[in-house]
Amino acid sequence: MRKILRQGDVVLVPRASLPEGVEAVGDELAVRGEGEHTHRLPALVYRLRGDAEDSDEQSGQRERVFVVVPDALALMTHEEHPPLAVPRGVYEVRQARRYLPPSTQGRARAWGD
Amino acid sequence: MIKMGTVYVYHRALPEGATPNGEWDFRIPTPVEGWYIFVFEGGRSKRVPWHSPRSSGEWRWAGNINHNYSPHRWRVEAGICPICAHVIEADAYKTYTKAYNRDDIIYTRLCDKCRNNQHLADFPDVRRPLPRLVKSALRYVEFSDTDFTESYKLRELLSTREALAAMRRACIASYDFLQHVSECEHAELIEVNEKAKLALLAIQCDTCRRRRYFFDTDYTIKRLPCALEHQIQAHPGEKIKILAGEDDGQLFVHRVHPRNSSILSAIAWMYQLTKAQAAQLLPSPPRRFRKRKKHPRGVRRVAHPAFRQRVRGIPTHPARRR
Repeated sequence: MRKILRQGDVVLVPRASLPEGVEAVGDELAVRGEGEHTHRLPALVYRLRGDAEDSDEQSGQRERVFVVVPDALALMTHEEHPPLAVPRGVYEVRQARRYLPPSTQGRARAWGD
Repeated sequence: MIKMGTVYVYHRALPEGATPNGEWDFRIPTPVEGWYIFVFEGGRSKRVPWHSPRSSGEWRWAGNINHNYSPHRWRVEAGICPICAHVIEADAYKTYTKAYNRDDIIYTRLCDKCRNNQHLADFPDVRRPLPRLVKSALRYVEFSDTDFTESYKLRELLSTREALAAMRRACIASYDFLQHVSECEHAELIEVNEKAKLALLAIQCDTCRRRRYFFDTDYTIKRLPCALEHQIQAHPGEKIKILAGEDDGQLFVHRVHPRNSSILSAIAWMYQLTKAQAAQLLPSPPRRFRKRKKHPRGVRRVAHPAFRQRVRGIPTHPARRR
């Protein structure tokens, strides 16, 4: 069983397969993290747009991102983190979110926002 | 790699909309639902010794100290109120610790004022006024630039007598420790994270590697047993930083939803995972912290030889086994 992988505020959750209805986005995952740098992973990137009803009530996330690592091993790189070896497979990309009290925004935001 | 010898001091957030250069308007709603917490190198929160403060309004000891803390003990003669950053005098502790004939036990709790005001009952959404001492400290600390990320500026900041004095009065940080950091060439201020509206001083000192520190009223640096690492809770709305044994030794838990007060649930919320998945991101606690299986009746797991012979008929003496 593949483990959840994490590099900084980006988490890769292993999935058995891609869900239906995804659309290809590109061949490199680039997620901007908390700092100025970007997490990069050479992999096929897919996006799944959800309805507003499907969105997470806290994060307001309406879009899910999946990556497919075709090679045996791919390296996720970031300037501030050591490289992360990602084995072949399908992963869902999750990014850390932070809580904003209702008095401010009332919703959680990802760091890249 | 697990970083050692790191102390994180969290102090009051910058008021929302305030500019660091000028006078701060404290009437502006501030994200003050956070607490003053001291976070040390952390691990799991499974063995948090204190009850949740939200239910009782104060930190309370969770059980028998002898059971919970037999291998690791530490000492402090006073605590720091997590709300108003006042020093709590040691009297309250002394009575307790003497009763157990253990003068080397600490635990933190709120000061009387905060406890009586039931600040925590309103937690986390109530906007408490900034404590006076913290206000004065913040006024003394003149941030010359909005860019806090450059450590030399912080070093400058911390080396100013006014800032140190103010911080000392506000009990935000230890004078000696800051002095030590400002003088020690190995010390390095790792990070000040402004984005979360919490000024974070992450201090790592190579000379103090493999030590953990705690501030007490004497403003001395005390070694802190690693047991406390495993008792840190992620407080709602607060940002903590756990040093765990994963990729780069750092695992941030940013401001988390108030419901998620434990580290595990905080991480699960933050990454939108289940708790089981979040547990994969945390390292296993050291062996000495793992729960030991006990027999339900408290008997030894291996029967005494005499018992074996009497009940099972197994001769105790090797010569008789033949």
